[in-house]
Amino acid sequence: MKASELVHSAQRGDAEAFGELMKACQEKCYRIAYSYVKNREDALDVVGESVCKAYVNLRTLKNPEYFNTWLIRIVINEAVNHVNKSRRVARTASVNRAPVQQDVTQAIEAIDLHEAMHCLNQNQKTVIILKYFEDLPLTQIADIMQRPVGTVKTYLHGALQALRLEVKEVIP
Amino acid sequence: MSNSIDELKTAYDSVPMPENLNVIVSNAIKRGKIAVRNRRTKIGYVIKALSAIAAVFLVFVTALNVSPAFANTVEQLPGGKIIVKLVTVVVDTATIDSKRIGVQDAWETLQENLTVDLYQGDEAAATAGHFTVTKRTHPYSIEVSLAGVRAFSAANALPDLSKMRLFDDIYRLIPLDDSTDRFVITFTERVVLQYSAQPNPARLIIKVKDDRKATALSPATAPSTFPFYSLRTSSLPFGEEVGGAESMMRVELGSENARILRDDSGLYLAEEGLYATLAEAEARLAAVKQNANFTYELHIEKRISGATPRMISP
Repeated sequence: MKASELVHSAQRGDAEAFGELMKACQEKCYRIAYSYVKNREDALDVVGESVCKAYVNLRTLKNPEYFNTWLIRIVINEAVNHVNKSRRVARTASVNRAPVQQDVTQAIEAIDLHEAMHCLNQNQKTVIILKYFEDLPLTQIADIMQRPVGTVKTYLHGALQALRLEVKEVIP
Repeated sequence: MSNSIDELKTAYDSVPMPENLNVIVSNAIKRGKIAVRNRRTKIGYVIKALSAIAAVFLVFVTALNVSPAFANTVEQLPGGKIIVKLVTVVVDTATIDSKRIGVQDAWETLQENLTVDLYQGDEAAATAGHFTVTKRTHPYSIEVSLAGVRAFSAANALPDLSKMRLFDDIYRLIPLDDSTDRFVITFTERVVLQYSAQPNPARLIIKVKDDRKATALSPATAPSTFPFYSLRTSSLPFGEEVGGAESMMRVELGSENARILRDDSGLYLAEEGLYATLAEAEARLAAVKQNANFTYELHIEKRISGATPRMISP
């Protein structure tokens, strides 16, 4: 069954069809969530919450072809909310967070660059993830971020500059 | 730079997938299903509750408008008067309606109803009390005397009779005494009349049908088109003078049919009687002038049946 047909079925209340859709994109959702929260448990929380929200609000999706775009938007919003909430909790409790557990053992060689991503703001980080990691075109990124393409380009330019600067500092 | 991004992408793609990702997603879908069900149930409850409230309100408003007794009971409750005032539909202090009946007859009959609300002071009267209806001709009219009712709605807000075909005019008369009120309703033609009183609140319901069918079937009963002669006062404003003239006609002249009418200018006149010929009217006028106790100047007016009296200046 085509993705759009699965979406139609899911919108009519077919939970199995929704499960099929999620099987196809749950890993992508997890990666995106992980790249924001950098923590396995938090990333799973974000994915769980996003899937639940997507199921509840699936009827509001007017064009089934944009299911992926719509779902990524939910995951990113949920991840950003999660990060902001964690920051607030940390500030309120005045407790330093424990160092983030690095599951990316296979990517040790890229650890400095990965950390360089921390200096990016949420919009810049979103553009880098969607453009270079998920290989999405700028128009689709603009849809996900609900910003004009020009603004997305500005975010991208700023992100690349910041990364270059950061990389220069980290890697002499 | 491109290499750096490639390295980042490699790290991104190498993020190990947790084994329980499938379980997390399945559980999330289950939670979603429950949330959807709960939301539907909640919406259902809200709709049911709103429907129930609307139904109760509708019944309450209908009862207030249909049952005067219920409205009176509610008014006795604290704040009840305001509630009744807010939800009671008041079209006018007097309501009117008309309809055509007997469409299969060659003489389609027109029926019109007039409902007159009765008040005691500012309050709606509970019962109409004793009332009398006197039918008159030239013009076709009824005079309604109400005992124990100090006012009727038309005294303050006259119903608009402009769209009525059988009802011509309604006006109040000077009361004969402190406990009686009177009003006159004139008709545009001869009518078949039915009237009744309704309590709580007190209302007079006057139903009239045109009399054209009877007239057509029995020409002998048709209203006369010959002129007649009215012995009357000049036109006077609504007040004691015209009331006094009417009383004097009854007391001093023994004119049982003396009455007050409104002329075509809206002023009032006291009419002593109607006479078939001018000679009869002149003879009666001469007799009246002999009565020293009757001080009002009278005039002879020639009218035809159904016509409104003309204005005659003093």
